[in-house]
Amino acid sequence: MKEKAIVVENLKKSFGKKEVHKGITFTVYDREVFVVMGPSGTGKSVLLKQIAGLIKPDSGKITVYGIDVLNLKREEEVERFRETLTYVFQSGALFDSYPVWYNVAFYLIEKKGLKEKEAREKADYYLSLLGLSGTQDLYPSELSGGMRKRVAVARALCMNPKCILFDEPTSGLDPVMTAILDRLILKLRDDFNKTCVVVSHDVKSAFRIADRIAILFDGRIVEVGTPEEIKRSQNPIVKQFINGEPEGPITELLEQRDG
Amino acid sequence: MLISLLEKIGSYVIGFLEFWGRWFLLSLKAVSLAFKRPFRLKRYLYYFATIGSDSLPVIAITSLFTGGVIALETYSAFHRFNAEYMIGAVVAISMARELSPVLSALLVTARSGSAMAAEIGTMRVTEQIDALEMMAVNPIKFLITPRLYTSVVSLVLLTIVSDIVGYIGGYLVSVHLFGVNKTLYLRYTQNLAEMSDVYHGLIKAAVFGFLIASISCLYGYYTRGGAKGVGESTTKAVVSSSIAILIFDYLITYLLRLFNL
Repeated sequence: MKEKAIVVENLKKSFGKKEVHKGITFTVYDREVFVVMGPSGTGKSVLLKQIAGLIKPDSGKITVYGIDVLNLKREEEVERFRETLTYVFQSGALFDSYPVWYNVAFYLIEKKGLKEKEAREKADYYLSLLGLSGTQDLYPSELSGGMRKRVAVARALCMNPKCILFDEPTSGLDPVMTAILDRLILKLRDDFNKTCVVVSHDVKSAFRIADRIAILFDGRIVEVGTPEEIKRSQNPIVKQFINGEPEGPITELLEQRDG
Repeated sequence: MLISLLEKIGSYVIGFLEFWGRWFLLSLKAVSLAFKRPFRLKRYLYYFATIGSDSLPVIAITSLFTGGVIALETYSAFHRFNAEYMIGAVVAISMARELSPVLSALLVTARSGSAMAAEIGTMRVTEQIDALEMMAVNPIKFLITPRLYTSVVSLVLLTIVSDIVGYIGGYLVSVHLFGVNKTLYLRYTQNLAEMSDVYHGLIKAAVFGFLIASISCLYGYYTRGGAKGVGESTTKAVVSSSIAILIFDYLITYLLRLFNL
């Protein structure tokens, strides 16, 4: 049995009257690529942010490699958690007032107190690993979308976490860049032994990278399984989503909600 | 009708209290976090340059003309009593106690307060603040603390510059335009204006600097919803800071008078 990386138990979250999560439970194992899929607006990003401790859930329990995320008290605990798990934001969330290399080296300089020269060498190494050599002195606004996402991955790698959360890593990218990012995520798992949780609604890309897939719909996980199991699933919601059909239970619920 | 009116009033009161509650907590954190390692003095120097030195030309020009216009306006009144040489004291006292701190504060609000709200707000909506948190860097300490301290110090120094330049403006108009006796002009300033007038203004300037940075950063920090949200917070930051400056100007003057300052 593999070690449990992330355990989410009965997670509930509402924004005002809108119930986003109605009790979510799942487990991610060490060194696996776990993809959470679902239609837009089902709170996939909110789920990731709760795991990362950026948003507090109303109730439930989240454990990341034995760390109780919702009860981080002392500063050392917070820091240990940050070094265990990090987040690659949808748009990259690079600091646009700093050049690329400083973005990547940011954690080493600001938090670890490394000298700039030393930190820059490390940043150069991670950038070259992701095929970004030569971009060191550019500013984030000078990069393309795909490059920005890869710089964000390099920044995450610089913290050397066990687990990386990806928020829509392939949204807004062309098919080639999507394939490159997919390969990158697999490389992180195979060569760097990272656990990856990916939120996506790109079905093709999800089937390519996932060890297991969870389908999130209407505040609940409706199905978890390997890509094969998901493909064979008889659940009408899963079927409609992966086949991209315009009619089915998802549309019905949306229409009901709109009145 | 009555109930909806009461609801309106209630929601305003709650909004008001919520704002100042948030303001208090954020300011408290920002102030105290300065004493936690790492200190990062370089960031303070950077903001000192952008908030302080970059505002110098604007404030110098405004003060020169303000000092000049006080002399221009008061000349005809003083001329009737043959007391033109008293203009120097009027310019010095009104600049030091009132106009230098308020004008400098309003100009810094327009220049730097808006920039603070816009920059921090943009960082919020593009998830850069979340990214800071993911790297275990406290965003309040990183973004707000240096701005708060440098804004207080900058405003005090800018006010001193404004006092001096304003007085020069008054001098130029009185002595060179109206031909007031130079010696009498300087002597009466010396006799009537006191250092306590200057200190009075500097205390105000320090409070204004704190208000500008804390209010502008607060609006930036709690920005929501994209480019429109950033625009809204910037506007609100400038409007609220300006109103706060003028209200606190009165309150501080009132308080300081109780202590004979």
